[in-house]
Amino acid sequence: MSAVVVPPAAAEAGGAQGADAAAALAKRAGVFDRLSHMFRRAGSEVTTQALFRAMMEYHVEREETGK
Amino acid sequence: MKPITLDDVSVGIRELPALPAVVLQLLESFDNDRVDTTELGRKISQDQALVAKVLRVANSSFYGMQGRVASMQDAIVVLGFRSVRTLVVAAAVTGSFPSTNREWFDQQAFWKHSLAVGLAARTFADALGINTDHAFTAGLLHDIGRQVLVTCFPDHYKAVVEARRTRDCFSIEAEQAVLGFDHTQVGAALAARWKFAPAIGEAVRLHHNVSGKDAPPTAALIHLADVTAHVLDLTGDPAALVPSLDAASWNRFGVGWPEYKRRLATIEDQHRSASLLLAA
Repeated sequence: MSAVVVPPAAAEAGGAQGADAAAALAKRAGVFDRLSHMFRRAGSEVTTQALFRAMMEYHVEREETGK
Repeated sequence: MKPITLDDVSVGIRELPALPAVVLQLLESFDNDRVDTTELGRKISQDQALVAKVLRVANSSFYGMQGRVASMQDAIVVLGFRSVRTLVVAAAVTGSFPSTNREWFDQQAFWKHSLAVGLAARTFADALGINTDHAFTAGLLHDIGRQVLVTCFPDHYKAVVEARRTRDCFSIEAEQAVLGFDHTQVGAALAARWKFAPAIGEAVRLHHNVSGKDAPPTAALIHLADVTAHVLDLTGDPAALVPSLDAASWNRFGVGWPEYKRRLATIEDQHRSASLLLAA
């Protein structure tokens, strides 16, 4: 599994907004990695792939609304 | 290790404790709108372990009644009889097996997943025109065969768990490879023994085998709920595997992904409260 590491210099260059965006990206990558791991035996059928995308969106939306 | 057969499992099931009589009465009341709720509430009140668990959930933040539900009668008035009935059945079923402290089987995670499937099934039931009480109970019991095997045949089920880990396969595949049968057959036998409605036993037996339009509706619902509970990752199992989502079952559900996602948030919120049933 891969993890997204935010270089401190990049975060500083972007200021607080850049750090927030980088953190959001890292969070999204973490969700993607976890879902990919859990779906490793689920196959590639269309409905299952749609479920994967829906879950990706669900976690990102939950994160953005702070729930 | 001597192999076991389904006949051996039937003997093991007969030796398990029966559900409390009041719970059997509650199960019989699922299809009866003219229930004497006062009398059932009084009977439930006689089982203090059940009462304590139900009040813990009734007073959780989910219901917004922190500390104000002091008795079973309060709970029936405040939450409604149907909610209390569901909680009592869940408390009785989850408490009906001895606590196990086996490093190879996480009993808390097992019941957390079962509760999640029950809650998901209840949340999706209306779209499929299925009684919500039957849906919850079928979801709660869907994997009960695993708990039976862990309780009655721990050495055999330990071998199943090891096979699952080594092969990184689904539990049902490991069960069939090691035992020659699986938890769906065992669970259906227990559902019959405990006199659950036939639709519940059928869902327990068929929730891994729902392909095609002829699958019973409750089995299709439990399949969708099971996949949903896995994908919500509520137990954080590092070896978690999401099953393939059967297209016919999804199409029967008949709502789009936005509505599905909206319901997921409800399931997660309910699960946080319902998990209080599992505290000692």
